[in-house]
Amino acid sequence: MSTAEAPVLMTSEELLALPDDGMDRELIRGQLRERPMTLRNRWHSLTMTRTGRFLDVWLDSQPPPRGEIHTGDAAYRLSRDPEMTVGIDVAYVSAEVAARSPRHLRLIEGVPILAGEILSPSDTHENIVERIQLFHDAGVQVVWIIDPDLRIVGVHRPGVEAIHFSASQELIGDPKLPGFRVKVADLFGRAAD
Amino acid sequence: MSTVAPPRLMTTEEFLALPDDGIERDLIRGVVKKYGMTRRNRRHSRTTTKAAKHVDLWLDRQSPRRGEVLCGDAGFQLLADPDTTVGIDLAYISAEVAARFDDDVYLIEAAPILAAEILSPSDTHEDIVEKIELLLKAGVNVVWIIDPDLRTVTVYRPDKLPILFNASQELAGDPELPGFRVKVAELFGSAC
Repeated sequence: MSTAEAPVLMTSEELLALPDDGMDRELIRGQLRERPMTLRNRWHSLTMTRTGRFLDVWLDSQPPPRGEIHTGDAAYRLSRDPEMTVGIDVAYVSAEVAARSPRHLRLIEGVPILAGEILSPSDTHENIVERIQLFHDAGVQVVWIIDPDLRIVGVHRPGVEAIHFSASQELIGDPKLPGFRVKVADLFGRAAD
Repeated sequence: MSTVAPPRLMTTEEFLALPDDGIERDLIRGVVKKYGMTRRNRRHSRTTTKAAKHVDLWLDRQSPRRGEVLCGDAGFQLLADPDTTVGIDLAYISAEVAARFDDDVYLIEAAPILAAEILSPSDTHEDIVEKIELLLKAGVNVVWIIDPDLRTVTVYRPDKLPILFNASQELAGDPELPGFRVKVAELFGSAC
């Protein structure tokens, strides 16, 4: 009878020390998850630009101290025990968390207020569900699941039933992003000139 | 210079003749789409039961009882030339469609009024999107995407924006299923 091997656990420091070789890597409960990094598709990238832009413009309008808006899979160490270091498509961190993260480290130590994931064609349902749960468990207050194909933003808050905003509706960021408003259709492109 | 012949499209007959090997397949515009070894988990199976139960009970209350509720990956040929043949988790067909086909057919060559899909862990986003678009294009009046993990039902109609119902809400079936109501929470059984 063979015994199951104990999963090999890795730290975030070890993760960051791995070569920059085109592999997309994360640590989920200390276990490495890898997949080959592919070129992003046009719609994913466009949606990321637009979402980041609206969030960043909104953040400019907030009173200081302001936090930061990150796009493009910035690495967040959401927790140390278990070790959770993941890339997030679009995120909003408070000024306090941004200030606490050592500048020389490539990752942000802490939990964003908002985590947004833009759906890719190959994302599986179980990955999406796991992601939302992982964010909630870590203390992320608002999760946006942004679907450029069906043109919907699903909003998932811990302990609250899911809601969504469709293309002709306005995505409302309150209360965690006070005053944030965007017409959902605008996240997926510019209205025809 | 050699030319590459385009791949020959598959017919529904050829599709039905493929081995029954546990791999889930649909025929989409003449091309076989493989979903890999789909395993239905317990939550999926329970949700299918409850959704089918509520729709079938609604149908019992219609006078006269018009149409039929089919579940368990019911086979439908939605399009011909090139052929598109899919399994639908839960479907409601009209009385007229029900009368047109014998009990022993493997495929109903018509669009159901309602097609409901219960999401499985392995379903990819692109497969889900493609299925919704295919069903609506083929003449299905209303599509329900039931998410047993996030406890939501999203309703799609042709040329309409999607509407989400969560576990605190009631799903209404009007106008396609007149008078149909279910508390979304009841589709998902006990909350864990």
